[in-house]
Amino acid sequence: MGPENRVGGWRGRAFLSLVGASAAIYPLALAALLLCLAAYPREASFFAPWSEPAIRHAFLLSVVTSLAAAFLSLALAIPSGYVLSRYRIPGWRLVDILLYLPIAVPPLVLGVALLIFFQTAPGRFIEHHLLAFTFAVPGIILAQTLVSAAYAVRLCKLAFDGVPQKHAGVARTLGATRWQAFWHIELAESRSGLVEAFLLAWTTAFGSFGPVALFCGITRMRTEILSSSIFLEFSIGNLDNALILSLWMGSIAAVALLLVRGRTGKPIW
Amino acid sequence: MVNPGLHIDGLTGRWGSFRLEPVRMQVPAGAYAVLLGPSGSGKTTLLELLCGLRPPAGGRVELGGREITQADPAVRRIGYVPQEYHLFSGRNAEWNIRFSASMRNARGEAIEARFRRIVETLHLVPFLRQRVETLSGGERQRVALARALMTEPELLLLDEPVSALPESLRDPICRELKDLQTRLGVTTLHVCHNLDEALALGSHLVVMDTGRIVQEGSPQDILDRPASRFVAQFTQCKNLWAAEVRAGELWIQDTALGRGNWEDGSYWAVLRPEYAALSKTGLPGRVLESMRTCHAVLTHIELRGISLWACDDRLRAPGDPVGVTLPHERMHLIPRGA
Repeated sequence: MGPENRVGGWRGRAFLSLVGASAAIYPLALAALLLCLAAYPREASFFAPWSEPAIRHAFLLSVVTSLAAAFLSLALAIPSGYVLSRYRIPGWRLVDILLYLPIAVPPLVLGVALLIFFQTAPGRFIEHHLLAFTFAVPGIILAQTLVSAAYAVRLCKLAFDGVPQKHAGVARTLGATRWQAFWHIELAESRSGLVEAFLLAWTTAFGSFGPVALFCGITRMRTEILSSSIFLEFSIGNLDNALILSLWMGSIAAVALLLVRGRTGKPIW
Repeated sequence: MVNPGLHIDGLTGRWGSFRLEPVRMQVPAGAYAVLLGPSGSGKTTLLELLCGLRPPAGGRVELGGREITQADPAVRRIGYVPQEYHLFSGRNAEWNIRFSASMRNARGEAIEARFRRIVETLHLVPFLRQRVETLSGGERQRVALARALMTEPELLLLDEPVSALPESLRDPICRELKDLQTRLGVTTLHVCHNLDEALALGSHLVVMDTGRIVQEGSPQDILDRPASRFVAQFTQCKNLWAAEVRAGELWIQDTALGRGNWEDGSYWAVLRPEYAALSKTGLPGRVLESMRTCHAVLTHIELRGISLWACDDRLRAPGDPVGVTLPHERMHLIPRGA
């Protein structure tokens, strides 16, 4: 046996080095991008944009709509993820693909689809008799939910996959009803995955731009959200504000990740 | 009225390519029955049908005289300890054990007394506050058993309860299980694929293969009189020969082994090694090998071209001459095709 085949030989070290180096490329690239953003020379202070009422409104609107969208996404994703994880319904592959589409297609397409839908008879009925969505705040929530629910469904399915189906069965032999088994066992045991799903849904909704801009427009003090503000500031040549708002968005998402992942006991780093 | 125990009549089911043939079985109240069979024979499926976790295609199940075929799992009064135990993760042992009582909102002296009796009997008191993930295999098994016993089951179903444990723990835990069952008197159906475990525990054995019950009876019955070649092989009978009965005389290969009360035809002849007597008289044979096992010394003998295993009192050297007596009354014949 040559030295290259021994435990700790150069073949093993070469493999580890190659895998390690490849694994480092993506996080390093992300870190470099964030660093560039933070280090770019600017004249305004980190808190300067907050003096503008329109930016403060956009921030508040972003927080409220993205939280609403995250809750709605989770409400839609829990049953969908559960059914995909537990049952093989007829046509489940088609449903699976359909639920994947919002991730695969450009977000703008969803905005276009929403605009078209609200031009149809059922869409017009909803607009006139139930709730106005087009170019309105409920529309922001709707557009954000459509994008973020797709991610939430994936994570919810994974969370339920991680709970053996037999746990619910055993719970039933112990006297639990179907609902009790779902609530006390399946939902409780998948809670850390569901929190992850909520978090991802929230960050996706918080950062979504394309479908919201297309479906609701970017009207100052009305339908402008923080991601739209970055676009607006950039388009009028206010690079400082665009940069600072981008940093704020990144920081908020990072703090949220830290808080939630820290609380769920998963490794933060 | 005498409790009739578990009565299964023609229970069937089909899932994908697996088919459970109509199962007929009776486990008397208070008995410790063992369902024995190779992996994939349908043992776990049968238990899941009994618990109500799978719907049957047909048949009838009665427990203590009540029909429970279509009953909800929650009201069957069957305690189920699945393979790998399936404890509820992220919770402590006490939460798991009290689960059934909390689902029924059952509180009070009687529940507390039952809880204390069970955890003390199973030596679980020191582990009650521990999360189940941190418990050892033996402790997890006892928590699963305690959780099932809290439901006051009429029938206890144990699916390979010791297979996940280290070899050294299996024997003492099997003894504990048997002792506990005797004290509580609860009818028990224990699934395993290990013959030693089945013989140590079961007063009634049921052998299953490819979705059908192939034999049931006392351990002695199954060992001495296997119903098929499969049962003989599965119960590790080392002496299994293709045989013929011609004019009432038993022939194995070209050797006549005497007359018995048999009909002419083709058979599988079975003789457990403990019934083949070695002496200086008897049919002359030659030792091929001699080996020590956990329970006995086994000697492999060549007897007029027939390969034969016999229990022995000592190790013998290969090539030694030995006399063999094969008692006809102990010879069991299985018609070919059975």
